[in-house]
Amino acid sequence: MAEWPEMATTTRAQAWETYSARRRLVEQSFRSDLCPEAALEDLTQAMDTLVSQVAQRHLRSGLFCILALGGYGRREMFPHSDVDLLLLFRGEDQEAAEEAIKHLLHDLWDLRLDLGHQVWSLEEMTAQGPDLELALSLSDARIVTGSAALGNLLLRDFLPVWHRGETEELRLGIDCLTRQRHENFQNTIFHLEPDLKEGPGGLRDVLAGGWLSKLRGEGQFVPYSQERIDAASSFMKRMRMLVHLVRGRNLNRLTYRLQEKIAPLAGYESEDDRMGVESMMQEYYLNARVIHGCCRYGLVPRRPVDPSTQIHLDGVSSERAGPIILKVFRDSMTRSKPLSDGARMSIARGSSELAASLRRHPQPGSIMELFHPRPGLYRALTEMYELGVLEALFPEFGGIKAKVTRDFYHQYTVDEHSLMAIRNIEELRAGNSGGDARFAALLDEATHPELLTLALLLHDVGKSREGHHADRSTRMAGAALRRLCFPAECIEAVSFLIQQHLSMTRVIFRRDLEDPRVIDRFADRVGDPDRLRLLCLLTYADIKAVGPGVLKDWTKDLLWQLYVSAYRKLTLGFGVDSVEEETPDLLFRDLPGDLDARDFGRFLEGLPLRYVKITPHSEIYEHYRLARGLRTDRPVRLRLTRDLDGYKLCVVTPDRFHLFARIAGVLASFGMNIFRGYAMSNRAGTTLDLFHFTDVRRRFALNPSEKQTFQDLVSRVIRDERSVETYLKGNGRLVNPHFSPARFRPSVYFEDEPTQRYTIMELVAPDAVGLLYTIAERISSLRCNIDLVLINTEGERAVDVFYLSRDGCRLGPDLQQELEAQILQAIG
Amino acid sequence: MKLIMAIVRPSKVEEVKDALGKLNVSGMTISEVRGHGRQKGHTAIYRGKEYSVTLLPKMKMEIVLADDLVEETIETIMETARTGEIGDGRVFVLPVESQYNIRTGEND
Repeated sequence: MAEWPEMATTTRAQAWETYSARRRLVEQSFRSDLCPEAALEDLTQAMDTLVSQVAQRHLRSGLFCILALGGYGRREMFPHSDVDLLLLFRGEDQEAAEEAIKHLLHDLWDLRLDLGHQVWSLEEMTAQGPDLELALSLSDARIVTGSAALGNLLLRDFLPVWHRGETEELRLGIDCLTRQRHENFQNTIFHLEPDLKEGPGGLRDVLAGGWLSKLRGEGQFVPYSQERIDAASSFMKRMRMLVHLVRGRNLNRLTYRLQEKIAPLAGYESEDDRMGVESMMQEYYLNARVIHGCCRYGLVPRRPVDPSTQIHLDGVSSERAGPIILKVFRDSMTRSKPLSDGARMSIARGSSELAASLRRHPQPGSIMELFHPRPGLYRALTEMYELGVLEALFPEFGGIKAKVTRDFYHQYTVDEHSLMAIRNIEELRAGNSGGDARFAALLDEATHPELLTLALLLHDVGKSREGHHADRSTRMAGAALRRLCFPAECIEAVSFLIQQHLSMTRVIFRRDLEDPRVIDRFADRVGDPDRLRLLCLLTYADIKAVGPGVLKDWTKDLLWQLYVSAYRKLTLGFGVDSVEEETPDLLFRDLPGDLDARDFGRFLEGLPLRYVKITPHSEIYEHYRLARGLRTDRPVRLRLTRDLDGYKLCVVTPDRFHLFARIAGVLASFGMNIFRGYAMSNRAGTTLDLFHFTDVRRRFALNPSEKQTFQDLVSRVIRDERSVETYLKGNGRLVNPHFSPARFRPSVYFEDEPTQRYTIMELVAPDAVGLLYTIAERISSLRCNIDLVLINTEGERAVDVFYLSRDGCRLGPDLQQELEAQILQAIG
Repeated sequence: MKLIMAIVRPSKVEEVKDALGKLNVSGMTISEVRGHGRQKGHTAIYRGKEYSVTLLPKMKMEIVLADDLVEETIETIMETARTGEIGDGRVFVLPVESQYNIRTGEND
């Protein structure tokens, strides 16, 4: 047996010293030029030299070959990476080769290198074939020293042929490993302390993406250019180099404290309104998104994709880019079909034309439809973002791209946080949100939930700059929606939600929810139950999107408690306070010149204070103008207008018995569905009835003259010139309420506490045409006076609040019982 | 050495923390808890249906102090957390035998 003297300590020390000196030079050079590629190449060469020097004495007559694997094989040797080696020999030389290799390894271990080594005979390797992990390491293998002929038998003769035969196996194997790895990091690039090597968007994804792309072949859609991908990869290598240098170990997690140390070393200096570390982390997320995106597109679909189940698009004309692109994404969601690679490429090319096309052909309706909460919305918006569509629609969103909120609380960047908040709403709709059924029910009741998702998308766009972001976001969102020609009511609703998006959080954490004044003030600010519902959902989604586990049951209970208290204030408490001495100054300050302040003040006296607070001033002046025009010979004034949701009817008349029932009856006879309304009177006895309704049968739209017929009939019925009952029966138009017992049972609830003068009755019933007429008739038949009505439709639920009295007093318990029985019998 | 455990309204925590900061009491543990006192929660009505809120959200503050600071600290908590309404909370005082610093292993 041959002798294998141990390497002399002095020789080993000399080799190590040479290597260390070279490494110090490389590190010095890297710290000044921050070029990772040059540094990694130099470190690789230094390691090659060291390994060759140590191996020299053990390599006798081509007994074995030393190959570099993995990152070392790719010439990407990080300062503290493992040294991955394959020691390859011929089977016939096994005994001698193993002895030589043993001594080589002793020498390398004595140098304290972190070795990752594999010892194989060529025959074994070619007979068994490498397992997946070794196969991947071998894909970057190269000969360091030793028998080149032996090494080439593996690299040139065996591996290319083996790879060709195993393409599909390899592809599926890489796919599986990548998915598992992503799963270990919750499938997101957004981590407060990201792993630069293994995490999604890290260096392992660069490799996996490259392999998958190569194995999948030509024609695959990649959302970024090769140049951009290379730049992202270079950034990650630079960060990993710095982490190794600062930590002095093979650690790859960019920890919170390390981020602060590394930012100045990487050239990110703090500026007036921005910390350097924030800029660095923004760059990190931008680059991680590119790498992760490419890798994700390369993954093998879970099931084979039949092209007929994809949405195809050959090209996008610049003129019609807006409608076409919006339609493609809407179809993708409604039909649950993914876009084909070709469609993605066409959209990516056409997205630059989108903004100009929407200026020529505004599509507010299509955009609103697109944002309607439904399964697939988050995925569609994320894809729109990747393809440049979202930024073309809302350039404001680009200002928060990968913007970092630097604390231990916000896990996601601002843009991702906004999209995640939309995902939370989507999950509520899909019923995937665990025990949050009460919030899911609110979503079902929302009239325009797409305004909620639009508000969530834009609620933080003002964070692009420092300072109070709610105001800035509100202004920016308003400007964006005006540019896209959204209706004024939508802009106002979205602006309100964004402006107030922190208000519920502030109240629940900093105010006493059991203090009635806190609830009063909050309810005043919100104004009506519809807005309250959307604001509650926005707050829920916003807090939940800060990070996993942030929205705890504890917080949900507080949020719900505030919602219920404010809801009760806005519904049951609507008429508790009336306009007495105190009237908002602004209402008088803005009073148009043709209106008399004293007379206007008299008109307001006795009306619910909340009506004055929540109604736009211009509408209050219009109501007053109608009231001012009342005369003995003209005892009914009314006005019918159209808005986004339907029609608004305002009726002003001296207080009359059965008035509310009669108007509701006429509306029912025309098949109109009342979804919101108020009926109230002032101290002088003038009654103001406001109805918001939809023309479910499109009678007004199809027969324009019907509007006038309708208004005439309302006037005549109120003036007792026609009996609504006779008219309804005579014309056979009474629409029987179509209650469905399968939905839910109606309920009636009485409350006496909030006010001394009235009994408050709340009715919750399945919504139906004619419902209000039926209820109002029963109330009037028991000689009860309807002093105030608040009508709300929440999804399929009608929630109506009546302030009732009889002979100037509250209703006694017997009368309440009788009324409840009659109403339930009529509608139940 | 005593452990002061105070159950207060969530809206009062910041105020109590600030007030204790002025006494140089800075080390504390705060947790979100739910519970009820003698009033056993309350019943709320939403859409005509009653739902009971038996466990109300509260905050628990835990502070370990030298004996001579206890009285002043309790007074400060009581003054700051009080609204005069039901549900203001409770303060408990417990004896502490010893405490250890995990990093250094020292018995402080």
